Amino acid sequence: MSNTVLPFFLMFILIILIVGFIFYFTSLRNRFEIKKSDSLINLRKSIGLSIEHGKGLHVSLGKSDLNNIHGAASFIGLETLNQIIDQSILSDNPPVTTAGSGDLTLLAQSQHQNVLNDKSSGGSDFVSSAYLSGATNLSYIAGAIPPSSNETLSTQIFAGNIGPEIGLLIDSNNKKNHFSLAATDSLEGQSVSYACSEEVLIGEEIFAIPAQMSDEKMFKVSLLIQDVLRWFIIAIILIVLILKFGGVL
Amino acid sequence: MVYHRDHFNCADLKIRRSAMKKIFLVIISSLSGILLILGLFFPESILGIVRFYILDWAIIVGAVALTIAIINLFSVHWNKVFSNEKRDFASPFFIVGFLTVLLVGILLGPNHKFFINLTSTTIISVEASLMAVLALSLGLASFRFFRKKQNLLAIVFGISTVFFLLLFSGILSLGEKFSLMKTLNTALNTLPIAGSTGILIGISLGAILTSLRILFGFDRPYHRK
Repeated sequence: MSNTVLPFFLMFILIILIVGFIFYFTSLRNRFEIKKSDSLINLRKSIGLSIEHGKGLHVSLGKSDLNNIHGAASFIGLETLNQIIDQSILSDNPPVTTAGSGDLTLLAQSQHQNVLNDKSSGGSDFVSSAYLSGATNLSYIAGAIPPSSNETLSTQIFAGNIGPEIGLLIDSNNKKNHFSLAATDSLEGQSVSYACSEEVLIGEEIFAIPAQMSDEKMFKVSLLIQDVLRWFIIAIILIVLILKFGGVL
Repeated sequence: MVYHRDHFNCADLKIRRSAMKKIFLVIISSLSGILLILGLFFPESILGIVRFYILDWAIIVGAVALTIAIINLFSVHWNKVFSNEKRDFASPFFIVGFLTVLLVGILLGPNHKFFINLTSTTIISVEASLMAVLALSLGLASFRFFRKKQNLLAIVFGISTVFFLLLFSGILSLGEKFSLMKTLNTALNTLPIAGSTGILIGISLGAILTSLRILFGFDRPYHRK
């Protein structure tokens, strides 16, 4: 990052922290209602039905490592997995998790391991239900297709960084008539998902999954800050536009 | 009675140990996160050097994690081959392919021409066939699109896809000798850029907030709440 951008970035972080503290420690956040996404409502219903009917779930966390720009989407995938594991803790079938990067796989396995500890039941096959399906973009998809075409599944969630190759996963999913939700931070992935999938999250909606799936204060505050910042950026763009038209800039 | 007390003490110890582990992890991750951010803003100071060390360690940990994940993948396929319950016809191919590449790589070295040719030929042919399947799937999806989705957004999506396909094919650039056509062409070409920039701004905001949440230790993806 260049030295001229750093002060602006620092200011940006300070704004985030100040707005975050205001929302977190005051009742101001209660004045704002988070609009529920229909796709996520349907996902929750589908997870409930899967547990009720003893069917399985497949969570695909994408292919991005955590130490690059797409890592945030991978973290959202992990948080989604956490919420799904929480909801499906009573299910006979633990969710199958596939990932395309090593660190993501280990974190997903650690989530599964925690559930195993909570349930206090033995058995090693539970841990192996989270695994690396491939280390490159297409090998990850090729490895994720067999678990996603499993007859015993009923719900699939693709949350993370997945490119246009997500079309292959959704296609195999559509053939089996499973419920699927596609949420990726890749633009190409989003457009392919929109064309192929019934339930899709566009743009920054992927970052709203934790807030919509859990009641934790932190996620709601994070989403509110995101909205405030969005309006802040819109205001800046409009001001610059007016100044440009006015001949000031 | 004694058994119950011992059992209670043991459970209590387990909970305390787990809580200690969580606190330790939170301190380590938050401290590393704060050091990384400070190193970013003060690159000339010692914090900048610390930041580079932490990033180096993260890369090493990532590489080790990948190795562990690959061993785990191998064991998953091994179990699929040798267990009666979850047999998968693809698993033997994976094991044979994996062992072949591993042995050739160890014996000849990763820079040997035969090894490079072997791996790249396999990867390119498999990926090319997957891309072909993807192209077919997308073609079919575009035919099914309007049957599945019949709302305003779908209509806009469909029309804009066809329109921009035609635009990027260069059909409007034929009339660029007219200044109006040139302006129109430029304006229309900036529309997809404007749209994608808008989506990317939203994604970047979400990514920044998610990263800050994790860097400051507010969100911990490594353990359950």
